[in-house]
Amino acid sequence: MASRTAARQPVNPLKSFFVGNEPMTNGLWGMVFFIFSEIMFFSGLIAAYLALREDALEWAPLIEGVYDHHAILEAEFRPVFFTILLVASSIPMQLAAFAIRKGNRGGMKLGMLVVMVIGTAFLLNQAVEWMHADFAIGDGPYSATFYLLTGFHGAHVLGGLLFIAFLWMRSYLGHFDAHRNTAVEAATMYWHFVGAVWILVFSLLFLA
Amino acid sequence: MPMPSPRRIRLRWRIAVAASLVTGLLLLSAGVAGAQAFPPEAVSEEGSDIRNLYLLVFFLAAAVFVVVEAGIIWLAIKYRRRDDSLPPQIHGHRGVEVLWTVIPSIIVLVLFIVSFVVLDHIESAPSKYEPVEVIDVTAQQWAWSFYYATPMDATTRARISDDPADVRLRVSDGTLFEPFKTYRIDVEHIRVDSIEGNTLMVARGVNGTVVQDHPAGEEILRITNGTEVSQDDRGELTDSIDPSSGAVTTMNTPIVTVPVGKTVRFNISSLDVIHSFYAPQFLYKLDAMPGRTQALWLKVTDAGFFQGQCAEFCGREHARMLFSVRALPLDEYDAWLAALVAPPPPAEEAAPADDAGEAAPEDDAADDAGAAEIGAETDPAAEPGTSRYGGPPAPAGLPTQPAGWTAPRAGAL
Amino acid sequence: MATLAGTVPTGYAGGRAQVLLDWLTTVDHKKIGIMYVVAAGVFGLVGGALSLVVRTELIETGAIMGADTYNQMFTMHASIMLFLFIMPVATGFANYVVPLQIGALDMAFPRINALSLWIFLFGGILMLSAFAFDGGAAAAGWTAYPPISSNTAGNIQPAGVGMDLWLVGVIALGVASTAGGLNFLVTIFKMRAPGMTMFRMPMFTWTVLVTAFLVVLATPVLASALILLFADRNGAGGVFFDPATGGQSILWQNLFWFYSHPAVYIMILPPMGIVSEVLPVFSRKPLFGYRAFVMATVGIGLLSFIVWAHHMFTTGGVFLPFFMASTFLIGIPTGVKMFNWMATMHKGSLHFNTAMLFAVGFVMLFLIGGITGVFHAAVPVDFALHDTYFVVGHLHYVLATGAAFGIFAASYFWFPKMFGRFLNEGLGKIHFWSMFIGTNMIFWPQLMLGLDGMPRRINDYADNPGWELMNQIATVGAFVAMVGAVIFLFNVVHSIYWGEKCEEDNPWDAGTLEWATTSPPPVYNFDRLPRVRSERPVFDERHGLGAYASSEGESPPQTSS
Repeated sequence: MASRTAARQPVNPLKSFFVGNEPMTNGLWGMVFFIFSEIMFFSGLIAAYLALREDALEWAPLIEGVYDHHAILEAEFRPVFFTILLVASSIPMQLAAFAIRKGNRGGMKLGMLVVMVIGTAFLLNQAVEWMHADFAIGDGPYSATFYLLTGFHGAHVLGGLLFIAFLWMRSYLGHFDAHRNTAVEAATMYWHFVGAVWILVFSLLFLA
Repeated sequence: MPMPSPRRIRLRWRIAVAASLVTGLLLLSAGVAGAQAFPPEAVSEEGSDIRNLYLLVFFLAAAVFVVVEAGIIWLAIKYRRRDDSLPPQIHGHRGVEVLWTVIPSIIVLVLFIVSFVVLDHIESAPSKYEPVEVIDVTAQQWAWSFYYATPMDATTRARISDDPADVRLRVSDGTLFEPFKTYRIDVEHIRVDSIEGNTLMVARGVNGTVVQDHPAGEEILRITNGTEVSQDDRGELTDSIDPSSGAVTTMNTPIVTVPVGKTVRFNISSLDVIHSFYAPQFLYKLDAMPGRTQALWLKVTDAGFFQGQCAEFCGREHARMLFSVRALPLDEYDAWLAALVAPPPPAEEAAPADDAGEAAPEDDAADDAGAAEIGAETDPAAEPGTSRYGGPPAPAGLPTQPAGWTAPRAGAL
Repeated sequence: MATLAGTVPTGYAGGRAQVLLDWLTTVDHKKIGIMYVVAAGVFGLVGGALSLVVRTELIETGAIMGADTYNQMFTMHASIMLFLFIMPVATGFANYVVPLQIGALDMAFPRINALSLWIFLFGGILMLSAFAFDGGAAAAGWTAYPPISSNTAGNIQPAGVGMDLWLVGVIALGVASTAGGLNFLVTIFKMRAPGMTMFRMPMFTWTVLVTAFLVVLATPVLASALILLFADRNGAGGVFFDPATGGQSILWQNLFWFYSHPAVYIMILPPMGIVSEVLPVFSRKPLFGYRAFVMATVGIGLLSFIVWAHHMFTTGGVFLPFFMASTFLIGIPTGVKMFNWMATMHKGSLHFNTAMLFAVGFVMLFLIGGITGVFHAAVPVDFALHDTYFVVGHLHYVLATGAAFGIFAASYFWFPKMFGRFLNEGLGKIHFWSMFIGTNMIFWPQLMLGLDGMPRRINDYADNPGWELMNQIATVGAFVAMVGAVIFLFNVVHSIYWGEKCEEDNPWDAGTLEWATTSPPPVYNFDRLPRVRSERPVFDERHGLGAYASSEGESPPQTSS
């Protein structure tokens, strides 16, 4: 393992915020590159969305009066609320990472618990959204991109939740301390990424 | 010079054999290639431009090829291992490395500029006032249909669907229309939203668009009874294979007739999958994309009969999706076209002509339920001109349109 | 060296079952690498056999088999050769060699490495299993252009699960190679031995590094496209890619080529790296212009992301000047590499064993692939040549004589390191010459056929003068090349058990770190590492060059984990 004595190294504030002052472990590098590849994956989906939307004469609603995002957004605070909630859940996740950097396993567990609750609530809201959406995936480019973008984002939220839940359970086995916390830092990075993607997807689907 | 050892002589023999094998093979290939190192002679202006560019690229490439291959063979012979001493350990040389970065850069820059000029030349549409012959090329699995229209005329062919979701109108010549003007068609009013190729994006009161009636007498196009488009020699693919030998014959393939010396605009589109309109002697091809119509400009320079073939893999019978190009001198072409677009025999054929010509009644029914066809198609059975020019007479009962024709649908339902 | 050779575990107490279990559960990068290469080799034989079927169909005018069968054959030939042969075999060599070359104990994530292998095998078998189902395998070309590929009704292409299995298989392969790419990135960035700076890394490692970046950044885009196409076929009803239902067929092409052009470099860069290892070793010289070569490799990697639309010049949906310019630019770093290889041979002491023959053959024939690429870069010329056999000839000169020759060179070069025995040189020479002659017999005529206007992917062709003869030459050439491949197969199997033993660590007098350990290396790779002061530490040490000129014999501490 790389040396853990990083006392004299110049401090990069951004890096020290996200991953601490110690040298990044292989696992963290792996997560960084993995997030690159995930960005490219969502870029592909979003490129498809933009291309189809650009080409379409009429985009949403598909069938008048069935499902109108703008109308929903005006009538309800719900989508915005859950967006804020998901993005804000990056804070307890980062706090969990901060806690474990100081060896505070209890704080970490608390942060993770909050994240898991918020994430689950977000997924439930997405389920509500899907039930609201009274169209099938094959109705047109609008509906298809809607289901795919929200679906793949939801799958990533679910994956993140399972990851965090797994770490949460591992912490009961006495795993993770101030120096052995790569998985927690990686999960934190991933969770930030999931939130950032949602901002983009939400903007495209609901605001644009 | 001391007597070389037997081992060394054997080695030399081996090297000689290997080197002559390589050189011989390359020379042989080059010799055989000499016969066919070039694309066919072009029969169009654009094709000649492309062929000249090809020649430039070819001779540059050939020079690089000969120099580099000869260099490698020379190096391989000259510096083969003779003893166990360590050769000079050269790690690099700034000067030559810069040199062989700069030289390819210059070659590439020259090639880019020349290619760009040629591209710009062949891609630029001719002047708006230059007379242009417009030919619609419609590809489908696995056939070609060719329609002729008289351009720059106030009449054109159009089909419009009654499906409220379908807001595209397909016409032969989009240049006649301008965006955001309202045109009157016999069945209803439309507003042109935009023009893509020759597909008009029209709003017809769906999705809340208000249709303004245009002042009478202005900007009104009569689309009905357009001068016609017609279809020429659409052959069925099964006809083009000799059942005994399995050989493909080009005699029964569909023929597109083009004038010599007058610019032709091929409006290329597809009804199903991607095809590609390619005649080797044009040295030019353009994909037939479903849902889009794209223009290919050509000025044919030589009269004659040329082969063409779908170049983009399009499924089972891709290999047999052939066509022929018949280039006629302008006067002969005009006469041929005049005969082709001569009005059909009057009386009872006028109204049901479409239906009689449809190949697949169920498709026809579906189309008619959803589409009001504007513009009567000329019945090719009544077409007088085909057989005079060596093309096969159109078999009776040929469809006027490809079976299953549906208007390209808009992106959103 | 080889002080601990006696302790290398050579046998297994538990018998065959134990050996098998050991291989199936291994996370050792060397075993995984060998399994990759072997599996890819088997797939490659299948792909080669399919190409013989294709060539047999084209031996004369008139159809021999049904078009549906033929379409499956060329589709699966390409899919297998690209996704299941060239890419994984390069991954396999990289798996075996890269950790050794950088002086690491293993890959950064050994278990993910094993997972990649098994996902790859799963995806490959899934793709091939389609032959067993009704309707057969995918038949839409390896490019899978919709609306053909998105059609499930059976009216446009044969209905069946083949296309779906192809899609799922390629997605699985994409997951495997992305995971592998992540692994290589972290391994190369983080696991290098002391002294092994980036600019002392062996060229093969450099090419693998750039390749890994391409894999990680491009493959997910393909995955998104494949998922959209899968959705189109299963539920979405063609709304993404079928214009008849509101989709765009050109969207698929953009997404597909955004991956598949970098994929060309994913396939050709590692063989370029292999040649850059083999040529210097058998010239007994360092690689000429190492830094320029690195820059050229990185440059090709960067450019590969902005040239994808040069596969779509004739679609009418591309901004032509930009992609023409970027495509021409690729010629510059490629030219630099050609000249560097030649300069490496210059004033060298060239020893032509089979590995060197394949490396020089690569340089000679890849040149043709590169030059014919310039024809396609000139857009107007591409209008004439696109989708003809000229393209087929071009891409095969790049991949079948380029990438595959590099892979063969690697096989002869690293075989003694992997198995402790040499491949038979006599058989190797026969292998090389039948490949060299056979491949040229196939692909020269194809270039000419393309110039004459023969479209690709047709199962029958018009009886034009010369076409039948050219196709017959190509067909004979295909069988000649296949004979070479079978000889190679025999050579490998024979040499693993009965080949001439390689007693030395460094039989070729090579310079990179994999030659600093025993052949084959122990599980933990290294007993000791030489001091790394250049890109050829082993060569420096043996010949007293560079850092060793004054301090020979000094043994720096072994790398720590």
